[in-house]
Amino acid sequence: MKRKIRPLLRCVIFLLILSLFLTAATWVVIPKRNAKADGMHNARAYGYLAEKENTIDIAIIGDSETYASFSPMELWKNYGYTGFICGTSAQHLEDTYGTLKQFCEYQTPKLVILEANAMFRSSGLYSDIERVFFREIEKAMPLFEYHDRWKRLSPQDFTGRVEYDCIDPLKGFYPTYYSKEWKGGHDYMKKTDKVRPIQSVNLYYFDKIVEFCRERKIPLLVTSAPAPVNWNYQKHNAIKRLTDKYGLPYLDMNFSSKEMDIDWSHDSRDGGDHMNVYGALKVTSFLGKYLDEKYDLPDHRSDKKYANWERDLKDYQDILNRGMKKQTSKK
Amino acid sequence: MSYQAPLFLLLFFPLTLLAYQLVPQKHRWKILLGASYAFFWSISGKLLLFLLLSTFSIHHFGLWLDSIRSDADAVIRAAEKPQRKALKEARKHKMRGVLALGILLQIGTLLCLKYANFFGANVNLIFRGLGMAEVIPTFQWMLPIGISFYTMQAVSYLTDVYRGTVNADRSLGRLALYMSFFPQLMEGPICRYSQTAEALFSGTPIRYESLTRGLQRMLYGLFKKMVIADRLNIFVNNIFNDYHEQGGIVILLGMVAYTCQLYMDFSGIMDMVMGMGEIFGVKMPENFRRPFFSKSISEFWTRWHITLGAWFRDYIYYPLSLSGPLKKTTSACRKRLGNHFGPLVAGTMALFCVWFCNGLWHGAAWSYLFFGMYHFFFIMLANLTEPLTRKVLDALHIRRDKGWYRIFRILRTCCLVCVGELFFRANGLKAGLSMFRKMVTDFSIPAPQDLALGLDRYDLLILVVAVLIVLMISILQEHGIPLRKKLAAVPVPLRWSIYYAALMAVILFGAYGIGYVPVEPMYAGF
Repeated sequence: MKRKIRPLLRCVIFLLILSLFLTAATWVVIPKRNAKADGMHNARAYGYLAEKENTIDIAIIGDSETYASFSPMELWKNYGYTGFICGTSAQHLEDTYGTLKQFCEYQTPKLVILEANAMFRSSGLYSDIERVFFREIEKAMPLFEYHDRWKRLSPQDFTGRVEYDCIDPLKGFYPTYYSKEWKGGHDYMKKTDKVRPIQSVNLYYFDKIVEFCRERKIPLLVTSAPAPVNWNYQKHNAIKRLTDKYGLPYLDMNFSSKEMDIDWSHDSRDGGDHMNVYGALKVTSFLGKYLDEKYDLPDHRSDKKYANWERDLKDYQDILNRGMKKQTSKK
Repeated sequence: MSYQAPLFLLLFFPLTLLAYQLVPQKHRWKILLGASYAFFWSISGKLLLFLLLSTFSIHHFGLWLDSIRSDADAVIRAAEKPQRKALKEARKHKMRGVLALGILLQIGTLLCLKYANFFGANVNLIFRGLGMAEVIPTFQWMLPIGISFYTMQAVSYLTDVYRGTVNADRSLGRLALYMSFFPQLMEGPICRYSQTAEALFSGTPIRYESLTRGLQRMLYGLFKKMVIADRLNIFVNNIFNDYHEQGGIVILLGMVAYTCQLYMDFSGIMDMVMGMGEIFGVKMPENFRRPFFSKSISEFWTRWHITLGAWFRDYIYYPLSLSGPLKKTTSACRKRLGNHFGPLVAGTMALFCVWFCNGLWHGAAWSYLFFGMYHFFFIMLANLTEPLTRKVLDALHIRRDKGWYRIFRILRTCCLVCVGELFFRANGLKAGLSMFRKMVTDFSIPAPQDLALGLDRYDLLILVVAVLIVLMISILQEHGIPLRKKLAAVPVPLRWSIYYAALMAVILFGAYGIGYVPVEPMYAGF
C-alpha cells in the first residue's frame, strides 16, 4: 500500500508546487492597466473597466460588426443612454458569452444587444471544441493568454497594483473614415426559405447567453447590423427561428438599409463588410429610435453622476471631426 | 487535434491514461484502439473509412498469404522429393501474386488520394504542349491524416508475412491498433509489426517510473516544438513567402532557420511520441539520432527520419539490388569495372529508385522529386569518388574521423542538407531555384531591422538560449553520456527544479496564443 501511495503523493506535491508557480506567474504577467500599450488584448472592448461601477445601461456584444456599426456616444447625445461596445474582431460566441459575464461583474446593464454575425463563425465542430477548451483554460489561468507579456514587464507588474483608468471617450466604437463601395445596392436580402445551419457550439453558447440574461432579468435584443457581404436571407431565417424559439426580439437592420438612407457607395469601409463612421452614425440613429420606442431606458443627461459622459462627448466629437476633416483633406 | 494542443495534452491524453490504467489488463488494448480511432476522427472525420479499409485489407491478405503457405507446406511435405522444388516454386508464385495485389491496394489508394492531381496536372501539361485538350480532371480529394505513414506500415506487414518473418495476425483488433496507435499516427515513426504489435496488445500497466520518464521526454519534445520551432515559423514564413524582397544573406538565414525549425518540429514531436509510447510500455524505434553530427549525406539519412530510411532500405533497396536482373548486372559489371565500380552500377540503379520514391513520398510536387534527386546525387557522388578520396587522404596523412577533417565533414554535410531543405521548403521548384540563385549571387548586407522579420530581440534571445540548450544536450548524448540516467540520480529538489524550469519555459516562452499562428506538426502534412 505504502508503495502505491508514495508515487501518488509525489505527483500531488509536484502538481501543488506547479500550481503555485503558475499562480505567481499569472499574478506577474496579467496586465495591470486596461490599455493596449500595457499589453491588454482587445483593450478597446475592456474600456468599461475604467467606467464607474454600475453606470452603463446598454452592453453591446458581438464581433467587429458591433464596433463598426454602433456608436454609443450617439445614443448618449440623442437619448441620454449609456452604452458600451464589448465586441472584438472575429469574436467567437464563447468569448461573447465570457465578455458579457465579465461585463456584468462591474456593471448592471438594463439591456444587452447581441449582434448576431458571430453566431455563424465556426471552423467545424471539432476545432470549435478545441478552441473553446483552450479559451476556458485561458480564462481560468490568464497566464496562458498573457504568457508573452514577459517581454514588457514593468516594476508595477511585481507590485500587483491594478489601475483600470484608461477611459475611452468612444465607448468601444471604432470609427473608420475611408470608403469602399458596395456595388450590390439595397436589395441584397433575396428571399428564401433556406436556413443557414448554426454550429452546435454556437447554439450552446447562445443558450448560455440567453440563460445568463434571464437569470439577471436583463432584456436581450438580437440584432444584425447592415453588412451585405456577411449577411443574407438564410442567416436571417436561422436567427429568426432561434429568437422565436427563445421568445426574443430580433432586429435585422439589413432590411432597413434604404430606410436608414445608407449610401453603399460611401458608407462602408470595405465594400459592404463593415460600416465606416458615416454608415455607423446612420445605423446608430436607427437603433436609437428603435430603443426609444421599445425600451424604457433612463436618460442620464441631467444626472450629475454622469457629468463625465458630457466631457467624453466633447472628446468623442473632436475625434470624429478630426478624422472626417483628415479624410476630406486627403481627397 | 495535434500532440501539442491543450485539448490533447490536458484532456485527451490524461483521460486515455486514466481509462487505460483503470480497465483490466486484457482489455487495455481496446482503450488504446478506441482512443486512436477517436484521435483519427478528430482530425480526419469520415476519412477514418480509409484507415479501416486499409486495416481490413491487410488483415485479409495476411491471412490469405498464411493459408497459402500452410496449405502448400502440407502438400510439399507429403510430396516426393523431386516434386518439392516445383511445388515450392508454385507456392512462391502464388504468394507473390497475392502480395502484389495486397500492396497494390495500399499503394493504389495512396497514389489516388495523394498523387492523382500531380500526375494529372503533368499529363495535362504535356497535352497542352501538344496543342490538345486537357484530359484529366482535378479531384478535390481530402487526404486522411498519416496515410503516408500507415500505408508504409501496411506494406511492411504484408511483406513480412510473405517473407515469413512474422505470422499473419488473426486478431483484427491487434492489427487495427498496430496501424492506428495514436501517438505515431500523425508523423510516425514507421514501425514494423514485430516491433510494436505485441507490446501494444499486452496492456503493460503504467508505472511511476515509466510515467515520469515518458513525461520527461514529452516535455523535452514540447520545448523543442513550441519554444524553438514554432517561434522560428514567423521568421521562416516571412522569408520564404516574400523571397523576392529579400537579399541573399537573408535567404541564407532563412534556409538555416527552416532547417532548424524542421528538425526541432519533427524531432520534438518524435520525442513526444516516444514519451507517450514509453508511458504505455511500447518501445518504438527511434527516428532521430542527432543528424547534424553526420559526416556524410548517407550517414545523415541513418540519423534523420531513420524509420523511413530503414523502410526504403528493407522494402525497396534490398529487394531491387538482390533481384535477378540487378544481380546479373552486378556480376557483369564487376568483371569489366572491378570490385568497387562494378557493384556500384546496380546499387546506383536501386538507389535511384529509393530516392525517387523518397522524394515523392514527401509530397506530390517537382520540388520534392528534386529534393530526392539532390540527395541521390550526393550519395552517388560520394560512392563514386570514394577510392580517390581515400587515396588523397592517405597521401596527405589525414584521418577522416578525427580532428579538423571530421569537423569539416560535419559542416559540409550540414551545408548540403540546408541547401536541400531550401528546395524542400520553397514554394515550388522555380521559387527554390530563384532563392538559391539569389543566395549565391546577392551578397548585399541587410540593415539590422531587415533581419528581424517578425522577431523582436526577446524572441532572438529565447531562440539562441533554447538552441544552445538543445545543442548542449545533443553534444552530451553524442558523447554517450546517459543524461536521463544521470538526471534520475540527482536529488529530488534539483530534479524537480529542472522540470519546473522546463515547464515554465514552455508556458512562458512557447510561441502560442494571440500573436502567433498555430503550427501543426510539419511532417503530418507529408
